[in-house]
Amino acid sequence: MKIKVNGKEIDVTGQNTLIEELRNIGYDIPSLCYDSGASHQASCMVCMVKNVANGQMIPSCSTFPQEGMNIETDTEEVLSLRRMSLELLLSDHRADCEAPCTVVCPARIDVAQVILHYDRGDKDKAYSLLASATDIDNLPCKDCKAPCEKACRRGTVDKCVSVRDMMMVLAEAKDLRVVEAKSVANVSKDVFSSKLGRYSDAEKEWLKEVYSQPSRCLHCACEGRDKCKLRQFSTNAGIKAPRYGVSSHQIVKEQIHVKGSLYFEPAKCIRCGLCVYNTNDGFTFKHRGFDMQVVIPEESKNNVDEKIADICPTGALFTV
Amino acid sequence: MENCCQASGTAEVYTAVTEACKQLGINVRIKPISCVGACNQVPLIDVATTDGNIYRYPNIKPDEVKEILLHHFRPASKLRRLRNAILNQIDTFHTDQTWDNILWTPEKERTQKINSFLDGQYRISTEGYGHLNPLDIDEYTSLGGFDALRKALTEMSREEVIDEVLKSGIRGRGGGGFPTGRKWQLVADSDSNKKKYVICNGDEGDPGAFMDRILLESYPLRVIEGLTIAAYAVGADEGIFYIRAEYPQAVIRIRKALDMCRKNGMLGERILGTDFSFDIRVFEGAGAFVCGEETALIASIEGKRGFPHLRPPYPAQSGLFGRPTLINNVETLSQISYIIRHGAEEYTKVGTEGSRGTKVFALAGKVNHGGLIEVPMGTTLRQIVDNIGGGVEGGEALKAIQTGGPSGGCIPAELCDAEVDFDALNKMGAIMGSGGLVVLSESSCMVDVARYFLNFTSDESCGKCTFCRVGIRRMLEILDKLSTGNAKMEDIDRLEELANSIKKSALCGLGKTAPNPVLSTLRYFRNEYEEHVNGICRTGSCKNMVKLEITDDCVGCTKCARSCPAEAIDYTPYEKHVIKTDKCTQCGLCIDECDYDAIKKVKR
Ligand SMILES: Cc1cc2nc3c(=O)[nH]c(=O)nc-3n(C[C@H](O)[C@H](O)[C@H](O)COP(=O)(O)O)c2cc1C
Ligand code: SF4
Ligand code: SF4
Ligand code: SF4
Ligand code: FES
Repeated sequence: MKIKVNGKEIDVTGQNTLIEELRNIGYDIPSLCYDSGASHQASCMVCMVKNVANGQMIPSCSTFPQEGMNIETDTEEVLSLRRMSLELLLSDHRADCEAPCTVVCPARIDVAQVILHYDRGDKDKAYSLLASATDIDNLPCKDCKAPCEKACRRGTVDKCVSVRDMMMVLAEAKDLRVVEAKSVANVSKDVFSSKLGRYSDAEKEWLKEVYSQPSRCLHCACEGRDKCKLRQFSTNAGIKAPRYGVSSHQIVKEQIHVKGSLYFEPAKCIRCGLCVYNTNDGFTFKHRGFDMQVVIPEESKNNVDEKIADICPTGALFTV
Repeated sequence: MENCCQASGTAEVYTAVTEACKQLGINVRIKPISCVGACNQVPLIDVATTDGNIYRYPNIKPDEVKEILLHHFRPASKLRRLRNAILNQIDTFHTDQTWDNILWTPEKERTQKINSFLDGQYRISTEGYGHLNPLDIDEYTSLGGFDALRKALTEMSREEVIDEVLKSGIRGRGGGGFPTGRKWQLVADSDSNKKKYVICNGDEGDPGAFMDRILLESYPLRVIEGLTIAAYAVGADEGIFYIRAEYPQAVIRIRKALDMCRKNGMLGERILGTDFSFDIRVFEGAGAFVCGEETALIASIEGKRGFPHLRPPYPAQSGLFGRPTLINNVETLSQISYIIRHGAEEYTKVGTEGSRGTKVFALAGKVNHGGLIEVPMGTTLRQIVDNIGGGVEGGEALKAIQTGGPSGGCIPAELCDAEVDFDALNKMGAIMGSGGLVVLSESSCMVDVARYFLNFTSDESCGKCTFCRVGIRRMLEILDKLSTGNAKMEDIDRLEELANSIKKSALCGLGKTAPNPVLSTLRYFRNEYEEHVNGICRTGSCKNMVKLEITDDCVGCTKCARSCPAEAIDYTPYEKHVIKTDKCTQCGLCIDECDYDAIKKVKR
């Protein structure tokens, strides 16, 4: 069977979906709710292409080629609709890609990650990460005005985390071993970064209660950001900030322990459904309309494989 | 006597009639009948006398029944009547003045109001209107019921049936308007080795719609006949009525009617002695609006979550349990027996070139006589409002007509001479939809109307897709801003951009049509949106947008305070009065009352 793609005729068997055919001939089509090989249902619409033959916008991930199709993949119309779908998803996404402390650190220390290792009890890793970023014997924090503390989100809740003191204590703890520790932060201006915005009063109370470890750090940085396709495609689409005011019904910074090292953070979930369709009696949908959520019922947690985090296109499912 | 009718007290009246007859010893046949459509006139009794006259009494109460009966019928004996009169002292003497809502004038005049409601209607789906007992299979048969089924099964081949339906030009009444004959053809032509299903879509989730419920409750046998003919034509051996669980009466009636059909050989093995076997079961839907969408409906019958999926594949190729499936709307099926019985040629005499037959509407809104109506396609919208609906309520000017519910649009008054026709309505940015028809008057705010429908779709989207789940919500937020006077001019453009994008990119019909209420009002009433940006809702419907304030022109006469029914005005004589915004209902009485023009609507 022959179809037209951006004016050129190509041969297709009709057995593969459009997105596979297009990717095969070198077009870079984004996809969030589709992962080749996994069961899925079209929902995100970032893979949209236009069939000029009937004027319809179609999700290429779920459409099979048909005789007479005339596909456009990168006209302004297509690209702007794809961009809008990302913007809409981001407007229901109250999360930080990067922690504000890391973003502002003049010494380029991944502050948030250091504290995260520290809070998880892995002091070696915390120390090593710090050491890899700066001259540990001559810690720049000593003479720094600590913009990290001014930027700290905890500061908007009650009092900021004492970042500087923490770094200094770590630097002086000479008994720690040097281990492999890498930062995954990307604070480049060219990379899209989702920003959480303000907490409501109720959220502040909730955060105080839940994030009560000694450092009091809220661990703003997204723990799935190294694999996050939402961020990647938003960067590719040139999105700087979502155009629509961010509002969401999801609870901010709620991290649900699923099983083993697997966690679920609903506020980052784009409801693509991949985790629902690819677990047996695991994740499931709840409610409809704007309230529609993906949830993991307590009794289903054991039915989930930790590998599911790999197909989640966002940081909503991550392993630690 | 449908569910809604019973809510208006029909059941009580029925009991009253039965008891009164017993008490008075009157020998009459009492027959509960199907919906008459005149919702604002019920409970309603027709008295058919032996001389062939029919007297109609609208809006009656149970305690008025006896008097009506006494007016027409002689009680068993004078003695009994006397005893009754003594026993029941409160029996009033029936004079012409007894009822304020019944006019003792000749029948023609008395029922004129109702008659004008009925004139201009044409009955195919609701044939037998007003006298057919929904569950009397003998009566239905005596009036030509099942003739079509018998004709199809014994005189026509499957191809001939499909051909007849094709020639009739009938298009689906579920909203999309797809040619029914073509759909049947597709299902008939798909793999014939497979089991096939036919489904009657009785989900009807549009707010305010009740056409399909009435058809199921009042004419269950006709819908069953239509579905059976469809099954014969496409070669299906199992049928399903998908009826929303909120329609218990429809479910009960259809179940009873199915039983009757089985007993009478219209369903089951070897129907009417032919070798065609077919049966139907009822599936009660959980009642989400989106489950009316055919692919979501199928998922729901399969026990899955009611998510629509991308078409193709269409249900005709791969539907319920992956089998070829025909889905038709209740009303579509209720027109089939007419087509087969009278022939396609006769059917095409009704309606317009592109839209044959009749359409059932739920006429509502600011109209004098609302209710269930069936009109030939080609009737103009204005005829429906003026002639059938008796004009706009309160003598106000017509502003627009909304058709198609949450998927439809508003047609402005100046275009209301347009005919009821699938293509004509589409061109104007509205849709035929499943049959909601809401009359809007000059006191209806178009932003508010759009907001109402988007509120609905925002909640009723299945929530799967981005554009629909999040996009509609973002539109709704802009509408909220508009209706509280907090929007900027750019917001209108953003609203329009969102609407156009959602229309293009949503996956299923719900999402694709959800922006229509906004797009159509933007198209015809953009100035009203702009007024809202400037803080004006000319109809005062958007109450959160303005508040009433008393200016320094106030002389302290206390007149306004005394006129305020909500007691929202604090006053000390000779001092400037103050309106308490939280109590004020913005009725505007005080504005009319003030001689110094000192009360103004201001932005909040
Ligand atoms: C959101 C949505 C809701 C729908 N609801 C109904 C409904 O309640 N009843 C109905 O008959 N069709 C409904 N439809 C249309 C059906 O998908 C389908 O087109 C129709 O039942 C086909 O029957 P027809 O060809 O006789 O019109 C709906 C469609 C959408 C997109
Ligand atoms: S899920 Fe992706 S976009 Fe969201 S915060 Fe994490 S990295 Fe950023
Ligand atoms: S958790 Fe991840 S995979 Fe599951 S629905 Fe949300 S974004 Fe998709
Ligand atoms: S367009 Fe809306 S209703 Fe339709 S499948 Fe998508 S989310 Fe569900
Ligand atoms: S990847 Fe195609 S719709 Fe999500």
